[in-house]
Amino acid sequence: MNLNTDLADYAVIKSSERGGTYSEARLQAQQEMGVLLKNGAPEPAIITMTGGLAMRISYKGGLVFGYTNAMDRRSIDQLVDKLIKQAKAGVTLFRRPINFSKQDVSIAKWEAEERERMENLNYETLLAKAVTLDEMCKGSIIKQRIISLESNIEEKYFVNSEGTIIRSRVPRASFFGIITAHSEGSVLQRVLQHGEVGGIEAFERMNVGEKISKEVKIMARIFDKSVKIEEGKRNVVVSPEIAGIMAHESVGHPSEADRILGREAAQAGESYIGKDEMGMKIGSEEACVSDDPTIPHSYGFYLFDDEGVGAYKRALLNRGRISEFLHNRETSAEYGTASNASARASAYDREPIIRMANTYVEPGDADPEELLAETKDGVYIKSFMEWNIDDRRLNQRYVGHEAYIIKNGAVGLPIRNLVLEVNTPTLWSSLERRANDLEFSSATCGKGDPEQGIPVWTGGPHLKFGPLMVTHR
Amino acid sequence: MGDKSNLVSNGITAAVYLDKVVRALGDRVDQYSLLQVENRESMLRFANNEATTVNYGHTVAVQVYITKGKKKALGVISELSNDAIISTYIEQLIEAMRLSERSDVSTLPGGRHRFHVLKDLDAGISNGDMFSIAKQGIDACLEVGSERVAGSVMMEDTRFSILTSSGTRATEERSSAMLSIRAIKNKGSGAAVSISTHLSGLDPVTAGKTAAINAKKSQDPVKVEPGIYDVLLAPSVSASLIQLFGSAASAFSVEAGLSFLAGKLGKHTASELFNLVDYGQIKGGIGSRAFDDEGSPTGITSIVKDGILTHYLHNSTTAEKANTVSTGNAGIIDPSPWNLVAERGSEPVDHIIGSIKKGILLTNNWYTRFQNYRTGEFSTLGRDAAFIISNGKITQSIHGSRLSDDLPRLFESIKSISKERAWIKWWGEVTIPVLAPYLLVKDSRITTPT
Repeated sequence: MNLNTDLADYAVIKSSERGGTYSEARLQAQQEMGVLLKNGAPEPAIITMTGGLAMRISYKGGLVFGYTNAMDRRSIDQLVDKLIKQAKAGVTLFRRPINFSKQDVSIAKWEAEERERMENLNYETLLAKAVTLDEMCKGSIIKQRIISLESNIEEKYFVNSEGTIIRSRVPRASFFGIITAHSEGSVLQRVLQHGEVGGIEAFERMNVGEKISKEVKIMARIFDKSVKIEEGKRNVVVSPEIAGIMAHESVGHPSEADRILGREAAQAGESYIGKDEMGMKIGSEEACVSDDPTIPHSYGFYLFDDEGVGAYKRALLNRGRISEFLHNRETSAEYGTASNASARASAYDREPIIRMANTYVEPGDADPEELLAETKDGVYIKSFMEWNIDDRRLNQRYVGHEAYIIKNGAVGLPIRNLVLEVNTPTLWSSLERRANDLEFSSATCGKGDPEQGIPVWTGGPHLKFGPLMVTHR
Repeated sequence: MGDKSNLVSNGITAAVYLDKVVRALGDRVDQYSLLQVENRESMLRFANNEATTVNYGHTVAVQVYITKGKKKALGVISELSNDAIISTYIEQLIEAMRLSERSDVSTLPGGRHRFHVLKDLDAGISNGDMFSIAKQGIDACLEVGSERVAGSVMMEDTRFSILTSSGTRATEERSSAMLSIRAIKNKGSGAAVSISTHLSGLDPVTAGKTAAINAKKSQDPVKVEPGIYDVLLAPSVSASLIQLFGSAASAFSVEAGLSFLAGKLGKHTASELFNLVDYGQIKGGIGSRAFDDEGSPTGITSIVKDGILTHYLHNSTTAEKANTVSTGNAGIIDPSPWNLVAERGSEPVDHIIGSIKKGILLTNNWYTRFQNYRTGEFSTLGRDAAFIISNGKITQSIHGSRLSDDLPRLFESIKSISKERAWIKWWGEVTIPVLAPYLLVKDSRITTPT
C-alpha cells in the first residue's frame, strides 16, 4: 500500500498554521480479501481497498475530528478549514477546555510478525481453506452454515504537531462461522470466531478445522443427551472462553475512563466505577484481570496506539480491586496521569477512542482438572451463545451452549441453554480458584458513535466460582 | 438549505469515478453494477452538558459488483484519486473472480428505469447548525431538572449514483438528521431520539423534555421481581424488535439458517393486529432510496399482513433461486429493509396502560443478543426508565429488567398496538429506521440476577 506521508505531514503543518494548538494526522489503509460460503455455495469473491486521512485538531480548547479520502492538498486545505470553522462555532458548547496528557515524543516503525506476507495469499488458496472447513460440516446434523475467511492488511502513518511519527503494518487472519444443527424438530446454533495477527501462516495457527469438528460432535451430544436442571445455587466452573467474556464485559469495559467520566453516557453507557473509585473492591483475592496489547499474534495486537503512545500491559483488576483505568491522552490529562495507550481507531473515518486490546483473567496455579475434581455439586460452562450486560456493567448474563452437570467431581450430562445471570460484584467475589491454562478467544468489540468494531482477544484460564444462581431458558 | 428535488437523473450523473471503473473493467466481465456513494457527515457529541467532540468527514467510495459466466466478485474501493490504483484494484477483483468457484449468478435488472423519486431533500444539511440543536436539547433537559445530559447530533448529505451493465444510470441525493439525547438525574435516566430528513424536522425541545421527564419519573427505582408480565414496549424498544423481524425477512437470512421466519411464508407469524411494510421511499424515512444496489427500483413491500408473513425481501440472486422477482432490496449478498413501518393501532397509549393489570413498561433497551437466530430465542436489557404498571396505572420505577423471550412467541402475543408512533433509529440497537408504535405483549418473561 502506498501511504502518501507527505500529505499527512502537510495536514499537520496546515492545521498548526491555522491556529490548531495540537494537530495530528493519521493515514490508514486497509486491503481485504474475503471468502463467504453459504451452505457450501460461494457468495461473490470479496476484495476491498479502502483508506484515507484522519485529523484531530485542538483549537481554543475544543477538539475536532475530521476525515477525507480525497488525497490532494486542496482537499486537505478544505478539511482543515472546515474543522477550524466547526471548532469556532462550537466554542460556547466546549465549556471546559479539552487537554491532552504530556507524552514522550516517539519516532518508530513497527510491524507485526509475518512469516509469509499476506499479499502473497491468492483467492484460490483462501477459497480452498474455506471449502475444507465447510466439508467438515457436511453429511452431519449441520443443515445450514455460514463459513467466512478473511485476510486483512492494515497500514498506518501517524504524525502529530509534537513531533511523534509512527508507521505500522498489521496483517490479520479472521474466521467467522455460524453452524445450525437440526434434529427431530429441535435446532441448535453456534457462532464461531477466530482471529490472529500474522501472515498467511496465521490461518494454519488458528486451527479452525479441529475446532469445527469438535463443535459438530458437541452439538450431536447435546441433542442426544441434554437434560434440564432445577434452578438453584451451584458451584460454577467456567472454561477460558467464558472467563474471557466475563473479563471483557464486566472488568474491561467499566475500566474505560471515557465511560467513567460520562463521555459515553448516550451510547455505550457508563460504569459502576465512580470517577474517584480507584481501588474499589469488587472481587475476591483471586480476581485479577489484565489487558495487554503486546501479546504476539493476538487479534488486538499493537505496539503504539492511535495517539502515538507506546503500548504495554495494564493491570485492571488486582486481587479483587480496581487497579488501573484504560486511558487516552484526554482522560489521562483529566486524571493528571499519563496515557496507557488505549486509543484505537478502526478505520481512517473513525476517531481514536478508548478500547481494550486483549483482556484476560490472569492464570493461577491449579490444574484445570483439579477445579472439576473438587466440585461436588456444580455446573461446568464451556461455551456460550447469548450474552449481555447492562449499560453500567453490573447485570450480566451468559447462556451456555455447551454446559454440563458436575457431580462428585465428574463431568456428567450436558445441560441445554444453561443460564448464569449475575451481578458483577457477586460474580468476582465468588471466584475461588484459577487454573493455569490461559487460552484466548477472538471477538469484535463494538463501541463509538459512529460505531467502530475493533478486533480483540478475550481470555483466561478455567475458573471455579462458589455457589451462584443458575437456571435455564 | 431548503426543500429541493432529490435530483435523480437518468443518464447524466456527477459520478465521475463510475466511468473510470468501467474503463478499467473493459470487456472482461459480462455484467457489472457499480454504486458510488458520496457522503458528507457532521456530528456533534456532548456529555455532562457540554460538547466533547465535533466530527466532519467527506468520503467517496465505489462498490463494485462484477460477474463473468457463473463467477462473481464484489468489493469496495475508496482510493479513487489515482487511476493507477483503480486499475490495480480492478485487476485484483477480476483475478479473485477468475479463481472463485461457479455459483448462482442472476441477470441484473435491466432497462433505463424512470425512477420515481419522492421529494424529500434538505440539500446541504451537513452544514447545518448542530450546536444550536444540541443546546436546545440540553437546555430542555436542564429545565425539567436533569443533572447531566449526553447525546449526539448527526447530519448527513449522501449522493448515491448507480451504473450497471444493463443500462441503468442514475443519481439521487438524500439527507438525514438525527438527535439522540439522554438525561440523567440521580439514579434515574431517560432517553429520546428525534429523526428527520430535514434539519427543521428535528425537535430537540420535545426530545429533551421526553428524556428528562422519564429521568425525573424514574427516581428511586426498586429491583424488578422476575416473572411473567404483560410488557409494554415503547417505540424505542419495539423498533429494535421490529427491525429484527424485518431483517429476518431477508431471503439470505432464511437460506443461511439465521431467520425464525424460515418456512413461514403465507403462514401465521404474528398477532393478527400486526402489520409490517418495508418502504423503499417514504416521507421522513431516512433510509429512503429510489434504487437498490443492483439498480432495481425500490418499492413498497408488505412483510406481514394481519399476522401472516406475506413476502421475503429479495435481491435478484435470491429471487431467481426462489422463482420470484426482486423486491428491490439488494444488498448484493444480503437483501435488507430500507424503512420499516409498523401499522398504527387503534388505541391511545394511555388507554393501553389503563388496560394492564400486572405489567412492565420498558422505555428503552440495549444489548439484544440471540441464543439462536433460527428459533428467535433472545434477551435484551431494559435501559433508562422502566416502570411497574399495576391495575392500569404506572406505580413504581424499576431497574435490572431483562426481557428474555423468543421472537415468534413475542410477535404472536401482541395484544395491543398504540395509535402513537415515532421514527426510531439510534446507536447500536436500531440501525434501520423504523416507524414504531407502542406494543403490548402478553406474558413475557422478565429476568434479573437473584
